[in-house]
Amino acid sequence: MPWDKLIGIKLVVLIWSWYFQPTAIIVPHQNTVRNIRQMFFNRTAKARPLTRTVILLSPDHFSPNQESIFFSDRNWTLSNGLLEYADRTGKNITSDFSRSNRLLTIDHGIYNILPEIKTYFPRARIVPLLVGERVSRKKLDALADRLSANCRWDCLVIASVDFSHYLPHALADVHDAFSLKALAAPDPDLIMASEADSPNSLYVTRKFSDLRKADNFLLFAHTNSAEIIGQRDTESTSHIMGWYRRGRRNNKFDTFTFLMTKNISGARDKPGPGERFFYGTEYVNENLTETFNLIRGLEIIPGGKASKVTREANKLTVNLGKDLAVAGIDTGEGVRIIFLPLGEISGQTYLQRGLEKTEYFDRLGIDQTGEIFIHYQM
Amino acid sequence: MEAEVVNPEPVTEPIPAAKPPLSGKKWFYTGGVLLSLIVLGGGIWIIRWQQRRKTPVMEIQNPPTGPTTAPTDGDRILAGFNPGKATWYPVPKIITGVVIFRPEEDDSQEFSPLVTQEAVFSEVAGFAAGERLIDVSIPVQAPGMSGMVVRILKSADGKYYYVRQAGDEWWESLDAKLLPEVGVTEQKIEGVLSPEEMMVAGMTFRIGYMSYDKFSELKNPIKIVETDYGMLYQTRTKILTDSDVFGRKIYLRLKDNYVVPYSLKTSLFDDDNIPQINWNNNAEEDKGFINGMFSSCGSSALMGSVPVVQDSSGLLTGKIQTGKAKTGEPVYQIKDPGNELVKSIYEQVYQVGRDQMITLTEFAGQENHFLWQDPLGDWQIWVNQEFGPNAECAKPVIYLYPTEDTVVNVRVEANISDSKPVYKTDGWTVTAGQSGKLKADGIVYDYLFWDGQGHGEYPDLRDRGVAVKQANIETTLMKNLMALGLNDRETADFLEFWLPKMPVTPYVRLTWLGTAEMDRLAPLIVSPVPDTKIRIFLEFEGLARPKYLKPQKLTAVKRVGFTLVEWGGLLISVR
Repeated sequence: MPWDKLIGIKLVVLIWSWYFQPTAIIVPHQNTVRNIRQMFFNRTAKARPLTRTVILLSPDHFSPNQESIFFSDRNWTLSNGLLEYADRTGKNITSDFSRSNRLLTIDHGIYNILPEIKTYFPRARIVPLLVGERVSRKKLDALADRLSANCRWDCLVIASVDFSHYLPHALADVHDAFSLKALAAPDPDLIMASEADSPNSLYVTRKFSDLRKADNFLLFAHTNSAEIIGQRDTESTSHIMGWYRRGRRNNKFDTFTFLMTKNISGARDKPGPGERFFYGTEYVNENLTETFNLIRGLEIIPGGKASKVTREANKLTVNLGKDLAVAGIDTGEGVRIIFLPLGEISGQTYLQRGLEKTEYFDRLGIDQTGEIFIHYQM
Repeated sequence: MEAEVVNPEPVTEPIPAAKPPLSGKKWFYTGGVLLSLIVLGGGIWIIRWQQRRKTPVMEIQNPPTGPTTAPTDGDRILAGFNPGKATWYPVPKIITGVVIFRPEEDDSQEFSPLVTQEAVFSEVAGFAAGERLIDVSIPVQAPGMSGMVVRILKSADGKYYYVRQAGDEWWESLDAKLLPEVGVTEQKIEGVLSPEEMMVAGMTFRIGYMSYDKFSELKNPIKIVETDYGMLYQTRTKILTDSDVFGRKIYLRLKDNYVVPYSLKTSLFDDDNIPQINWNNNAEEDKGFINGMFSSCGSSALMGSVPVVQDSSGLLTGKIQTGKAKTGEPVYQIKDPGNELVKSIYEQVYQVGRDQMITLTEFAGQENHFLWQDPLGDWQIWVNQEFGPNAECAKPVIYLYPTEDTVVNVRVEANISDSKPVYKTDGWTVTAGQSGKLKADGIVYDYLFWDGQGHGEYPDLRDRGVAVKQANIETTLMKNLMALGLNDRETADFLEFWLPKMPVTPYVRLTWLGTAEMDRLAPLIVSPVPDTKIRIFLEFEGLARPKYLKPQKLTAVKRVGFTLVEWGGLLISVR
């Protein structure tokens, strides 16, 4: 091929890949999925022509001061080389943040990600930030503005965030469906209601992508620690890996998530299922008093002491008693329903695990995974 | 309609002697495209650059409120200040009337964990030109922290300046609390500097977890080495009774008598915490190790301390070299199941919270730990995370309610591994008020906290108590605590701490230790002697099914006069 054509094609490819390159990514810091994370980094690096700066956002796991954003201006000696601080970008972004090399050095949200940054972006320098849990919205917006002004085509924003915590795999999936929807939604505020260890880091990433007009969210992997070890009943941590880039926003994550119980009122701040049980779903009814039939093919009716599940051709009726919670994801093509056995009939209620769950499901005629799929007749 | 395909006449491709690389036209087009791209790119860059210059810097600090106009940063910074050498006072002078924080009723302020209205000011040094250095001790409402200390300068003309140091983790919160007229100085004041890293005598020390303890509160500090910033000390607390395993902490002593924790940087790990060890058996290099031997509610009971065995200890007999650090230093393991150190790691680390376990002999044969001699001569113990502990909780706290403000001394017959305020050689000495508020070194506490191992015998009461249904735990505990004589505040504190730690099993065994058992386990020596003493301790264990237990009769004693109340708890792991 004549070299002029070759140059032309390469130029077009370069401009194309530069224009559509990932501007921000979300990665988990839990090392259970390190291999998948490495694959994701590899794909990201290939999709970016040049990365000179990385802004790493992480939850602040250890500081008692959760109102602040901390940064570190140190260089990192890693097992695979030296990773330097991006001094100029750092100064522009962190001008009035608190510096704490101490805090960032001990935070696994930071140090677990560094070897991959060094491996896959060997020319990059870094600005790591810890974003506290109670940082004001004003500060978060200001940070997104600064990132937009200082993190350009050769700069990548990485949010180091783990998603659902301490839930059985099936319920974690429901919460993650909401998180995925929020990550892809036009409104960045939605992400603040998701179940993650740093909604604030996700919000800044999402807002930055918005400002850079690169708010098309693409999913690389969705994993769960319980699934990986093959124990679905155990408490799990879930992970979402994905990119933000230019392009038309996709709506494949537009689902509707719900969670209903009959007798769990007031449990948000109490032991038992706990706060995490509820948040991260769109429709929550903690004390079912009327029939729920917002979803095609599913009817949930307040029941007696014990629940009853009836399945007809295209319809599932749940007489919801005090022994079950029902969660689900309506994808538009069908609904995935998850039954969660609860441990007490009156007073405090808790989420059962293990064998008890199997007994419940046998009695109700439900598959032992506790899940039922209804596919809509289109 | 199909398009007619006309086969072009076969043409023999002439092989030019030298194909002209580009015709003039092609040159023109290619050059034009490249030039356009350069011009376009340059144009975009200039526009963006100008936009960036015009982008105002976002002001994210809290705007000052009230009638005073905020000074600019330039006005606030103390310029041209060269304080010279400070004269440090042997004893700090508590002072009053220092107004540097916004009033509490200023509703414009966002929530802050800093309780500045209860700040205590102590003048600690003076300078030749009349300036004064003042330590400000501020209570903090945040998990794991009760107070902090910052420093301010008072100029000769009476103006206050906040001394902002590098790595000031509370600056944002403090800035929102400081009155606008309070200045800021980044002047380095010798004697109260604590760098992130110090290299001295071939060793590197890195600043550790934040605590605001005083030197006088340290238990038997031993000098390590003099640095440019002050003397480094170490303290050693016995982790295991009758053995040579210690929790070692390192502190830099500042001139105002506060200490800053440091840790000895090791060559064993890089900044990504991946061990740099070549194992003799060529095992994977990136397995995790923890530098803590005992856990308490998810964190080390000896927070910030490093477990070490002293070099002369017989525990090290029979150590076998299992690898070599990349720096060439050998690392060892003890594989003898009869060795007390191996037994301790097995019993006090590995067994905690495990359902299924291997035997001690099997355990000893696994790569469960390694030993490495650090530059201070001690052998550091690193436990393989695979064999690490699950959380176990024990948090006794002590409330004191005298009938009038009283200075009280409290000593516990136990190996104290963690405490707040810091437990000194002669115990705690606090000023207790009627409300139960305790003051020590200018910081106000709600209670005394300690964690450790009692010197006495731990009673075996596992056949007593009650097995309650999961759903009834909270109500049962509330009833029990009332029956045992705890008031609302103590009950709320107890439940707040322990309820989330209850096992999620269908049933839970609740067994109470009372004052008599606690006095045997960890006797308290209190001066003045309390008129009423209530000591309770909950032992609990997750159960799969109900179990018959001998019922315990729970009774309360009437609170008369000076009252001491203590509560604590222990989760018995499923083994």
